[in-house]
Amino acid sequence: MLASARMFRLRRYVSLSIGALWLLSLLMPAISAYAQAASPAASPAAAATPAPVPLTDADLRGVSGPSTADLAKGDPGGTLTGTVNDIVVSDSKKGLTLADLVNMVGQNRIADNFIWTLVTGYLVMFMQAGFAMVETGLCRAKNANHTMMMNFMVYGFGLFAYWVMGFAIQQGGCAPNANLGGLNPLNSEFAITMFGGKSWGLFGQRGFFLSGSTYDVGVMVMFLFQMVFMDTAATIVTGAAAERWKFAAFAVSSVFLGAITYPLYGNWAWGGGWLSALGTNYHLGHGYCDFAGSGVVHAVGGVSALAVSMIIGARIGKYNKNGKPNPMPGHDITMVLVGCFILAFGWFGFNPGSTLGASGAGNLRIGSIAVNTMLAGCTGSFGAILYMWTRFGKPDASMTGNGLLAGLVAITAPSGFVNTVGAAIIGFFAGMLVCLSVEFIERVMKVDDPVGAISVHGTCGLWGVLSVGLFADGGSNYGGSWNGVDGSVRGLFYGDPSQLVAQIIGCTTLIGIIFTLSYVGNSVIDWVVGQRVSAASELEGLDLPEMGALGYPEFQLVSPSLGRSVEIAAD
Amino acid sequence: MKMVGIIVILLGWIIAVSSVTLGSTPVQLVVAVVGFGVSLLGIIAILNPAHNANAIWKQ
Repeated sequence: MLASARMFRLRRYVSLSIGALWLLSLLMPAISAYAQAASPAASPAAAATPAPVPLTDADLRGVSGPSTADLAKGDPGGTLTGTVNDIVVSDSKKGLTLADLVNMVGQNRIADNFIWTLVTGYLVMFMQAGFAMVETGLCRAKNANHTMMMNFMVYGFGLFAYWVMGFAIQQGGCAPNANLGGLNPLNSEFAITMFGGKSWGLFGQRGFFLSGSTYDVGVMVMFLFQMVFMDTAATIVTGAAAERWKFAAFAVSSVFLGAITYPLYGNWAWGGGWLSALGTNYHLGHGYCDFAGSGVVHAVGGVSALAVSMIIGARIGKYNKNGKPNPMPGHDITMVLVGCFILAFGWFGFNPGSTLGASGAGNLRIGSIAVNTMLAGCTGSFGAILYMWTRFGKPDASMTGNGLLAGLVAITAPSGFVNTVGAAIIGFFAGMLVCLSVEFIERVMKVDDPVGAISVHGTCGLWGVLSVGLFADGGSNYGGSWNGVDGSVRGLFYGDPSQLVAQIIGCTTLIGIIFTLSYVGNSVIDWVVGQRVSAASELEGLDLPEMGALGYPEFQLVSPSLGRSVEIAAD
Repeated sequence: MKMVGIIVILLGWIIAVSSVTLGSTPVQLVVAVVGFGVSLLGIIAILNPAHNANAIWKQ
């Protein structure tokens, strides 16, 4: 009995011990984690961590990835792909070294930024389709081919001019740019000395034909991204001058904009020119700040559109002899609204892409920039629909579309510097402003703008530039400085009125210099080529006289004002 | 009148840019706004009416 009782106790001790060990093994990781988390607070002495041991090449020799046999079985879970096996080794005899590892990290950052900038550039390129649809839809059917062709060919004319000389003028002195690997070949800016002995950069001098030292991977990425921005500006003009612009004059004018007008302002704002240096030279905030181009792209296009529209005059029938405007509705509102959606989609390339990278230097703000873009477009359409509904009793579709675009145009400059509340206010105000501006330009100035491009891009572009000087909240941090001035960009409402001064100087440059340059250039084109089609061509519609083919050859076109079909001679 | 309009537009830019030489930010702000206004005036009140004087809809 005694022996059996001892045996029973022994078995119970063994069972308990095994159970305790099992329980301890379960709790050990949790206890260990708790101890690690709690130890710094519990014991100040423990805070003194041992000195870091430098990593050497020897430490990497033990690191191994999955075997070839394992990889041959496939990797459905994605856990075996992207390991040490995939790091590029410079010398197979040495094996993996620390230098290989560090170089791989550096190349991955630049690769992230290249991919980001290229893909967002592709999105911006697709905006050309949106512009083509909006402008063609807002024009009459008898001009559909001509309007679509202007939007189609502005891409080619602009691109060619920008490759030949525009890019060099704009970005030829923009180095360094750490996001894209330095862009060191773009290192020559022509400058003069102005007020107070300060250097004023006027234009770049490297990158003509993308030749010589600018045959560089980073420069190519920069070129593609900047080129599609320039083309956006160029296509704005085609809308304002639609239905009476001679195609040959349009071609020359687009080359002029892509080669000179746009690149000059682009240089002053983005290429290391004098506007961007207003902060370092004269302590005006962070200098002129235009994150993605409310001024550089949209206002340049808008003021150029105003210059061309003034030169070529209004369409026949737009105004009565007493100056009262007549409505000339577009032929396809569905095309207009689909075009607006395409543009809104492309804007996610326009604004977030303007970080020129996704990795490092505060570029993760792309999320905030994308949301700001989305919000301002939304509140822009709210502002426009509210204005139109209140004033005219109906929610006008084309102006609602223009309201969306106005909000997007306005948020383009401040998108990288403001919070969501600021973005919503900027967009809403732009939506109202575009309606007021369309009325003012049509009824007071009596400038004919068939699509509202001057108001959407010019007026709201200027508003976007000014809004940086009001709403920039100091929350951004792109590597700790902007335009060579330390700290974050702040506007008037966040404590820096001098930023608003820089923005106003930028706006005045747009209407004082860029408008004038465009006006003079297009006046010369008018004198040499002639900007306006003949009255007979205009009345017939530009498709046959200018392009040689109708946009809608199988349809009978009916003029709402005449109440009968428009006869178009095919021969 | 077109030439006068261009001159006024450029004058506005010169006024705005000259604000960088001033010391006080509020004064800079006022001068820059004045320059902006002068340039706008040049476009809206001088250059554009000069174009509209011979507009096609008046003939």
